[in-house]
Amino acid sequence: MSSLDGWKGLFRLGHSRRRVEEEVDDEVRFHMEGLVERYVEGGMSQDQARARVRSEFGDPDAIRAELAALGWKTRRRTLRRELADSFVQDLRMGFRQMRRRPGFATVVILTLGLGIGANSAVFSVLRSVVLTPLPYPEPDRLMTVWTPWEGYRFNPLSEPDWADLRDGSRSFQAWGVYEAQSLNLSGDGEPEQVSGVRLSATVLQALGAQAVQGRLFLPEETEAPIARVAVVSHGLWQRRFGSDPQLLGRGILIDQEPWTVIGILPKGFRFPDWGGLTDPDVYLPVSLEPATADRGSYYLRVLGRLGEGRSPEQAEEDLGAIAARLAARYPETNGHRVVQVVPLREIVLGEAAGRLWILLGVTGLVLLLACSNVAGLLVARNLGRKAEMAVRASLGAGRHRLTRQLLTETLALAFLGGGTGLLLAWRGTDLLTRILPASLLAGAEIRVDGLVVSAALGATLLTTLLTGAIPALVAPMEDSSSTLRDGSRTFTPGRARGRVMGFMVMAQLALAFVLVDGAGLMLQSLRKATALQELNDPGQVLVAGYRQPGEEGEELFQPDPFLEELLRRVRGLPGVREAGAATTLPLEGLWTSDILAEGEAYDPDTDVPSTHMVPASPGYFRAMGIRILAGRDLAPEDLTEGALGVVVNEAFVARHWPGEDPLGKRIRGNAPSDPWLEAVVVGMVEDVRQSGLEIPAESGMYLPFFPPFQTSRWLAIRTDGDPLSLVPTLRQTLSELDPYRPLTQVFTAQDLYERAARGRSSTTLIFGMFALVALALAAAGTFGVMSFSARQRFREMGVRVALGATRGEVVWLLLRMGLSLSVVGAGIGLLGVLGASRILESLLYGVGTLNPVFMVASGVSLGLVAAAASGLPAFRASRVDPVEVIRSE
Amino acid sequence: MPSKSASSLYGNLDLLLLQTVAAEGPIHGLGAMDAIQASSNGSIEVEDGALYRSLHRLEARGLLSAQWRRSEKNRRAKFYALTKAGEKELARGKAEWERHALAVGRVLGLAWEVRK
Repeated sequence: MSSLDGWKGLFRLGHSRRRVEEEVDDEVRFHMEGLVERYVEGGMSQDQARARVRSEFGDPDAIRAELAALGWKTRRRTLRRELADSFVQDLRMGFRQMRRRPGFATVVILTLGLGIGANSAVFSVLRSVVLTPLPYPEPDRLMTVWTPWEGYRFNPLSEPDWADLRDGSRSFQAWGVYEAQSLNLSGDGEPEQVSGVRLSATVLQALGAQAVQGRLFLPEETEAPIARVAVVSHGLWQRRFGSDPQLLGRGILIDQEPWTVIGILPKGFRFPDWGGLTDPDVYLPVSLEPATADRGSYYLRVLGRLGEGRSPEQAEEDLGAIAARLAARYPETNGHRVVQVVPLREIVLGEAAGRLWILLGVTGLVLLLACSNVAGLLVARNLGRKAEMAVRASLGAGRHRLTRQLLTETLALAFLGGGTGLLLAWRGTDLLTRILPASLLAGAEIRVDGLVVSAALGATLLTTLLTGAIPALVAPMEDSSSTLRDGSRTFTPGRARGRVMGFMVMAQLALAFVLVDGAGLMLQSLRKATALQELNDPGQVLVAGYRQPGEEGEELFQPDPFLEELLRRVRGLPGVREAGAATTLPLEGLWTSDILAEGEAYDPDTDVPSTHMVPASPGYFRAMGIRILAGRDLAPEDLTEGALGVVVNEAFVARHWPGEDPLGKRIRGNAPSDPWLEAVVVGMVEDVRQSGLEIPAESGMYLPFFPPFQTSRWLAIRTDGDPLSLVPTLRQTLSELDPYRPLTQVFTAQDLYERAARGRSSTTLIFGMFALVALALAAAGTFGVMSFSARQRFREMGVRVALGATRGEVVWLLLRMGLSLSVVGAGIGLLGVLGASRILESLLYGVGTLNPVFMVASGVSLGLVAAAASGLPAFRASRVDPVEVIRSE
Repeated sequence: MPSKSASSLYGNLDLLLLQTVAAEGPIHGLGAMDAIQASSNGSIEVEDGALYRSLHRLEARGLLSAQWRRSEKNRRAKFYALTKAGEKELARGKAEWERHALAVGRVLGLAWEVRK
């Protein structure tokens, strides 16, 4: 095949070195022979003359070598100049072509722009979020530690376990515990809810934090008894205290207790959290009492910096040995408990990283689609320019010269496309950031920077090669003389080339099939996830939060008189039908505990399933819209010491007492003796999911008391009118009871569902957009190829019409071609779906990857697109006037 | 700009060749050698090796362009012609040479006049 010559032609420099040497030889020989002749004419003999010339010339070999080196330099110089000249010429030619066919150029530039833009946008987010190291020195040494039951992951630590691990291990250079907590900040100005972290001094040490003013905690300040000192964020210092230089050493009121500010953290300091980086306002010492704390109460997060040269595996092994000792000594709590060391990076990135990589894969497909589309368009156009090429070839342009011209033209188009793409990316990152949790982006600045531009440039060059090389190598290979003889109009695309173009369109349709099918499944997942709303009429429920700071070491089973009084007043407000409160909201549950049901015995070797615990007030079920299925609501008398009453959900009953009446049955905490909780079931309510939309409801239990570590209070207020219109009155009522207590958040119960669906709906939106783009690209590709082949077959159509074919038959002929392309495309796409099903599965919920409904729907939409894209060309072909066609020959 | 050393007084073969090619039109190496000898009344003799080195250097610098043609005796010979850049370089070299020679002449107490 001649394409190889084409390539070699591009680099013909390789032959030249010998030619340069030959030329030098020729030149020297010419010179010497001229002199010899002259001397012979002057009367010398041949031999004498030769000897004389040779002696005059000096060392001919040395001179030849020197001249050859110089000549080689000259040659390279001219070649470079020629290449540059022809490049400029080709560019000019390219732009002239664009001006001549602006429609074609626009389609190509937009297509490439879309592909490159989407990739650049995803890449810029990926780079800022995933590829950027955490903002701490040597972040790879930062680890988190967990103590899950065997086979599980991510269980926080209890205080005694932490103390034992800390005292027994030397794996970490610095490590400590923390617990996030929201706090009421009062004193100067309005009381407000701020985010806080209680931690040991070593956590900030491990992170490598430095105070920008004042100092951070000393280790002894975060040991019991803790010092009443606080470190605040730069943001809080500026916002709340107006960058007051006198803040250090001053007291501030947190949960109405005085604390002394000792330091301010630098601007931009971020604290790592699950699924992102946060910017807490206040840091306080964590107060631990490992000697008295419950070994089975897990709430401490551990963060540490590994010692120099230590690996996470070594640390896990080291800590595992301690865990084994603890298991032997405390079988009830630590029997099957293991230690897990997880790099902080994994915790911070969470699921977003995977989602972004998948997105990059999808956009990569779109770019591929754009490339094949443009390649198809270029092939079609180059076929249309066959006559021009033949003329240029007959005027002496070499094959490689023509190839280079076509490549250069493509390069010009690709660069305009790349520029458009960068513009799109610049706008598109906004949209992308919406699918990521806000906390993950808090520290990262998403922007289109040098690296992103270079990546786009790389994509552009790759695009040029992918789209330009094929048509450039295919197009000029025709025998120019036959083309000129045939005339430019009567050309029928050759079998080989027709197949190449057909393949490209099929590939586009196949990729579009995969994306459309995927988007359909995503949409179905979203529908499945949001279809179920357990709460009755949630749009009528106002949800409002505040905090009830607890006291250390307080009694577990205590009422909340403040809440009772607040609820009593709220129930009296006009428009309020019912009011209640709980410490955790549906879909956003936090507190779980191991509970034994009546009929079950304690066994340290049994993995007791967790039960979601929700402290709630009487009236909460009716206010929130959770139906009571058996028994009754919680009541004040359920808090009687020794006769605690609790309400369980359906899932709890189904798991522990299937088919039995739960009322009057007893439950208790999972302990060999003296469990922390013993109670009687007084009611059963319907299931409400606890952990997001996509995890089915699990065992749950509503408690009549408010333990001190549960500081959140969520009011649920069912109203007659617009629930949000009640907010001012509610604020008023709250401040009458306590002027230092702010409302944290207000929304409706309906918003709970929307909050939970946000990540999925944005991902679906973006996936759907890509699918539409893919479909549009495939349509454009089909249209281009179909109109091209229709034009190529004008004469055939004319003849057919002349021989009596009806318009309908001509239209059908072309439509059939388009449809068969889409059928094959769908078939290939089906294989693609099979291949990608594992990746797809990770994005789906409640629907399988191989769903025939969506496959058929994607196939049908492909067919419709192909038909629509073939329709206009077919219609045009059917309007061919046979006389006109034959006359023009 | 004054010349760096007096040695450039001699052996400024590049400049002589540029001038010769400019005056004679496309010319091969042997022809250029003869022409220099002739126009200096035989007082400058160019060494063969140096001649070609200089020609090739000028070509590599883009001051001369070269082409293979038939010579007067119908042999294939490499002919050199002045490029645009060569013209400029020649003018510059001539002016510099003139300034230099004048300065040396003054020092030596020779009564030269500058040709305008």
